[in-house]
Amino acid sequence: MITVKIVRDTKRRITGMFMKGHAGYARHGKDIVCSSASTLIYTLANSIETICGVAAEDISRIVPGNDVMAEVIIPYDRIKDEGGKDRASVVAETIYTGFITLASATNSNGKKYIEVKEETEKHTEV
Amino acid sequence: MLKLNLQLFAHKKGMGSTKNGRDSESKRLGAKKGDGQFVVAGNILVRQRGTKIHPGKNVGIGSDDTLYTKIDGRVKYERVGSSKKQVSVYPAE
Repeated sequence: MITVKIVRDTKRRITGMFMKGHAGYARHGKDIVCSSASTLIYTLANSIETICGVAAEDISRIVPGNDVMAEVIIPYDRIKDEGGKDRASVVAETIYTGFITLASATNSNGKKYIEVKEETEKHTEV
Repeated sequence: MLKLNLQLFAHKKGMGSTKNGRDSESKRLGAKKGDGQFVVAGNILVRQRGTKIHPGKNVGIGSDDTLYTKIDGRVKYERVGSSKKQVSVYPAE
């Protein structure tokens, strides 16, 4: 089971996504659920780079292997214009919706592969 | 830009260990002299476990079922009945 934790600030904007765990749908090389989840988190990091001009490597940390984990931070403080912050927030919401959609997928026995949790930060991003 | 690892969250099955993988030293069993070959008394004809091939004329059998020739001569593999085989040595003319 992959666990996806979405962190929102008090303005309800997504400020970060944290993922860990294995999908367990199939073995390495044939796990289509894993490839969907991987695509979403990489797309988030690369989209923020495209929109905000911040290198994807600077805002993400990806650790492959058996204790796999991935995290992407949305750096609102480094986005000068308000429009850019809104675009980044829309991208994050889109990827979040992708995870929700992916989490609705189950196998014939109803087994789920993705779990999405939300958390709200105590302080507000600038 | 990050390069996508499509199987980032796929479990990589560790290479399980196997309890096999042992084998004893090969004992090089089998026939040591061919049919029609000239042999000298004492030559080993066949190394075997049990009597797959039985001793025939002028052939002795050791304690480990090894067959050896008792005389100089030529080797002859023969069939005994429908299923048995034996090896004999006949003096060379």
